Amino acid sequence: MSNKLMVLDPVGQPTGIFGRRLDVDSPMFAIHDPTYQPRDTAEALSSLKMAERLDTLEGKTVYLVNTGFAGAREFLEEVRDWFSRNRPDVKTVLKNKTSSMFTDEPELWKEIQENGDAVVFGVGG
Amino acid sequence: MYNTIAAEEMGKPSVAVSNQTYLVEEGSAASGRGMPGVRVVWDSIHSEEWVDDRDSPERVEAGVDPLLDTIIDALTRPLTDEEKSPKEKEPEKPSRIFFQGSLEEVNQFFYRRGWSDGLPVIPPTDEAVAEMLTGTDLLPDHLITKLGPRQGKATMEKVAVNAVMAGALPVHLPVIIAGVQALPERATRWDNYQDSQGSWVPFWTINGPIRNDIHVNSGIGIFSPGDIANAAIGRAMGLIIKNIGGIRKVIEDAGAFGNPGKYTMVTGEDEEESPWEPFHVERGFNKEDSTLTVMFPNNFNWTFPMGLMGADGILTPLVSNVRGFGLSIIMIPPGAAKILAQEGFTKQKVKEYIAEHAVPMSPMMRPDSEDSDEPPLMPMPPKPNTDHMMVLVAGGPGGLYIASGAWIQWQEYVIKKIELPKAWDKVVAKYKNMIPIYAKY
Repeated sequence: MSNKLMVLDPVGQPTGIFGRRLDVDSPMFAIHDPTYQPRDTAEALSSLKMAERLDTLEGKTVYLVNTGFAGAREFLEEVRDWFSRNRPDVKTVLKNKTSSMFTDEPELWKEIQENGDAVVFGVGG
Repeated sequence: MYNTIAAEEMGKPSVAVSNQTYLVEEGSAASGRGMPGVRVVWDSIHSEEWVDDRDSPERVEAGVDPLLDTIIDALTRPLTDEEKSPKEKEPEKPSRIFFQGSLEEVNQFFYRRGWSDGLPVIPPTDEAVAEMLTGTDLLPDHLITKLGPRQGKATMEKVAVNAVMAGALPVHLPVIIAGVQALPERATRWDNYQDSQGSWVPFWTINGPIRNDIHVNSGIGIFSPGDIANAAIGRAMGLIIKNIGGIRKVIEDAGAFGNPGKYTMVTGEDEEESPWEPFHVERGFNKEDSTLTVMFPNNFNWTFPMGLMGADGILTPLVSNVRGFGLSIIMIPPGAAKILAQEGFTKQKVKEYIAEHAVPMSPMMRPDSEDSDEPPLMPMPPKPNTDHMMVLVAGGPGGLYIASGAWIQWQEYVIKKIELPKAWDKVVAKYKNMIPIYAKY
């Protein structure tokens, strides 16, 4: 077996397990900021949870957030208009990210936290 | 997807509408943030299609309305068991020695695992990695940093493994370590640029005495194959970004066309022939320091004076080739730099000239956005900012080279001091003859 090479794993650990940010008090809207990205593995940290779904959208406020990619505004305006035509019981709020699709939007997240019940991001999420 | 994950984390049920261009693995984005999943509705309109609701409202309506039931469903359908209580993943038990095989088998194994860049790799054996580590005083288990989006632990040994694979030499390791330290700095915005559709390239600039120690090309053919330092340092960083950072083509990296610069894009500055102070001295370092600078361009232009003489002949094509008002690396060969210097230009004056004469670029406004509060798709400053320009004296005679971060102006140059091991002279001496000597025909 002298011609066999024993080689080392090049992959940085962890490879697929990630958990909650160590600093649980770090701001929710900091998701774009590498400073606040997960810092340890699932063994040490608990996972985030998806939000419970709504029973119905009736009487609820749905934020439609234009991330800024091409086509998003047209898409979300039609979503808004569709709700007006077909589901007037649902309030929609169309918002544009004011900086870019790449950057954080703390004020918008705060507004959604206070006033929104659900969010549609479009397009490119 | 990160917007959607942020909203879920706030307790707001969310759905991302994404189009065909973003066929990246959304589960990777979610798990990278510790979220069991995200709900996505796939749009049928490609992003390159500009569907304007004034011109074709019927098309917009026809494209959007059928998706509404799915969107509402994503917000109201109860979470599945997997979404609610994801199965706990087994703690990782990484094995250090991962594979045993011949050169060919190792390469096939690594390629099939997605661990290479498509070219053959040097097998990272214990011996090769140990030799690589002679390029640093850091211990193998030293954690340099964690690299996103996977937050992989960039231990000294993992970095060395990837450096070996790339064909780097131990003398290159200090530069590679500086690169690993530079990437996670927020100012690079590398988490955006490395996986963006725009296929941005990490562009590495080496300044200081180390250039000569390790034979970094800053002259003729900088970006052509043939110089091991230029080739292997960039290649090692590419493998580190992929294997430790976890940015894999098509899975996380949505680069629409990709970019050959992702194999490597490394230059030095020809400080010895430059009439001006080198870039790292401009940035407050001592001339005797060695540094590594990174930014992410995706637009590369070679140009030349086109008949004009003197400073005008050099500056005019530069003005017309600085694309967008993001960061720009302006590479001027020594001969042209000396002409400019003789006519009173400093690096700063070159930048000011370009800023002053640049044709204002309109922000990418929507046609009807002047009457609305909608922000431009891509905000643009009225003129390029001189702070966003980096002037390097480099390249062979006969032209000028501009690497631009087209459109994007949110990143900054990140510069790191390259730390050398105590036995640096010994390591350099061992590899000092690693230069190609071409036969004379």
